[in-house]
Amino acid sequence: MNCEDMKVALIGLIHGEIDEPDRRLAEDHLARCGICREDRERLEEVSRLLRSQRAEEDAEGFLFAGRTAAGRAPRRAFPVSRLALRYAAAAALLLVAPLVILAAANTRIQKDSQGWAVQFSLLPRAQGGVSPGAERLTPEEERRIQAEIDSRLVRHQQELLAALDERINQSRRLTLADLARALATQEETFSAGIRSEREQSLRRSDAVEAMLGSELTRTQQMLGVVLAASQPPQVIEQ
Amino acid sequence: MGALSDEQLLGRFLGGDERSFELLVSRWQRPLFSFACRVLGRPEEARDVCQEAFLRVFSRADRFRAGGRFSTWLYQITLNLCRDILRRRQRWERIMPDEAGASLMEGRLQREAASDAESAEGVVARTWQRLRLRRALAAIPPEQREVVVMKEFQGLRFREIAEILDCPESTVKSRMYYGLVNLRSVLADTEKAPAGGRRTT
Repeated sequence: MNCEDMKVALIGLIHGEIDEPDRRLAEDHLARCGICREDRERLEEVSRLLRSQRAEEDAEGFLFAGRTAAGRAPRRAFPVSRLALRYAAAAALLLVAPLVILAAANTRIQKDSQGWAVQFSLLPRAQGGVSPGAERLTPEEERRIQAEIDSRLVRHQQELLAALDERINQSRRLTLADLARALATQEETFSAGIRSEREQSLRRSDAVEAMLGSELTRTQQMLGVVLAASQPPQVIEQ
Repeated sequence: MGALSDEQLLGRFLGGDERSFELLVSRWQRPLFSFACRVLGRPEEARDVCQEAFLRVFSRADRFRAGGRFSTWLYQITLNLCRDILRRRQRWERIMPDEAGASLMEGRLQREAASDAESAEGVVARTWQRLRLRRALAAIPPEQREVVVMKEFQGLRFREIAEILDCPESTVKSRMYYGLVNLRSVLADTEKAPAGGRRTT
């Protein structure tokens, strides 16, 4: 492989898209040729720069928000929306919390003849202190236990949901209150603005009226003078 | 629904299911926009190109070669539209030297940067770096830029790119080689900061 062939081979090497025989030939050449080794370093540098730019812009969602690799699914750690993740987290919490509580309520630590023993169970322990599993439960018991678990789960979910509802309502009330306050301020400024506007225009129209009045009197006076000058003297005497 | 391949969706669309077309659009509009944006260097033109590309898919879906890859076809359509625009722009710029595009990009970069909460110096350095890269990308010959964008920004494999461009893989790699070399030399030329100076941190 000569240096000219290496151009294509280097690109294949850098991006890991090269046939095995070609790769070996290229590596052989690189071992012998300092110029091509330098060439590879330079190419890698630019390629890295481009990729870091892409990663940066991906992370920021700058201009090309949500660009995808190979144009398929969006390149995210999880290919689901953030909202969906949030819901999933809430659901997981709802499921796990009662289990943890059940487990805590039914785990027992005791000291017996052999030393300390921790009995861990999701279910209420069977009567008589027999470890779970050692005793076959009758279908009736199983049903009862299942019903108990179900009812606890449901109760717990309901409690959590109620708490969630409460939080939502609270924040909604807050938001509404904020909005109302903002609206009131807005209205106040607006009406204050209108008031001052009206006052100003009233003042202005007063001024205009006064000006007009004085103009009018002056005009009348001038008219009087003009009339006096144009009329024969006897008219004035009358 | 998400498990359906692009080709399956196109098939359903041809069978009269318009919802499949919407899915294709929502799946592809972003990658396609980013692709066109980098090839053209101007978001507003890229938007038009994407719209036109989807219109063509819509009206010519029946011409899609069975057995082929939808993404290849879509990239081909988009690339042709981009090339048309670049040709037209070249003709136009021979008459009117153009500044608007670059300044538009720059304005956007600065706005984006300004809204950032981090230190001004970091923003300046990053913005400058980004601008430098975009300019460099715009400065290399289009056939090299196409390959660089498809490889480094779209993450396609050389085989796919060769298919899209309808040329041998070695040609693609060769263009990639010269593209990177040219990018490097343009970047080296612009190493110095713009008027005002870049402070290194």
